[in-house]
Amino acid sequence: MQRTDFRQVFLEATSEVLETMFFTGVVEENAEETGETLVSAELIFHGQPSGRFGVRVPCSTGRLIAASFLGLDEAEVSSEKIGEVVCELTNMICGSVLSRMEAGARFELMHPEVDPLNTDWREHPEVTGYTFGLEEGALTLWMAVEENKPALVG
Amino acid sequence: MAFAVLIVDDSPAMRSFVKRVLELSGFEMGTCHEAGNGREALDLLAHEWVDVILTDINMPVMNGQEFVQSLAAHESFRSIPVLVVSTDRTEDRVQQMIALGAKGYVKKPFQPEELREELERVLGVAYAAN
Repeated sequence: MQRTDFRQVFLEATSEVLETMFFTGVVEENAEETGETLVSAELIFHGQPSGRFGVRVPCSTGRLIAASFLGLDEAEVSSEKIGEVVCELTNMICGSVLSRMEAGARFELMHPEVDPLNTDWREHPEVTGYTFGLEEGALTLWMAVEENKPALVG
Repeated sequence: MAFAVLIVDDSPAMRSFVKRVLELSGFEMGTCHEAGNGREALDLLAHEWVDVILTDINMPVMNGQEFVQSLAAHESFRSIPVLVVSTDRTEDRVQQMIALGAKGYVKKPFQPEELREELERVLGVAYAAN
């Protein structure tokens, strides 16, 4: 069954991943980014539809999430490790989102990569994004589907 | 008995997470090896014996599907039980990996106890048969 309620799908997927493997969760459904330095990661996915999926968080939030995920003290978490963990977070949330949107459909997720330029996700065509609040700070997710694919209206 | 484990995943963060989960869960883990893709894992297996392999699917160089196929085709490696750990939740993918030779499949995200239980099931089945 195809699901097109993007906000709810994003929220369910984010909550599932954070609560299961990052030992945190969404505490605010309509948060705003604060203007802190960000760390962004994105991946390309192939399937029906194909597109890009990205996550970005303030560095301070990324550090807290990475420390929790890796079982380290905050001081032990390097920028490289923050990037690795945000990439893995992107991978897992994307997989969860796609399985909710298109139950049973086969998708192939490419390797997530940190975007050092923190490209504004709003520049992508056909993009949908939301910012949720965690105890650790804001987390923004976005998905851009390829043109000429079945429309997924948010 | 402490089991020698090989974790195959292109994400260093995920390898660390899986290793930590196994350590904290009480799983009887001896040596823990890591590899970033199937090719690295095969190279490691050429000189290190492991009791069980946990592998991702989407990896560069040699993905999990190719890796499991290579293990099944290798006389010395085909008896090593393989547990797939992947974000791919589709049932046909699960069945495909099982058909290729994997003994179990855990979908990410997973609860720590879920990973341990599936790993112990896979090991129990594998070593009870030998």
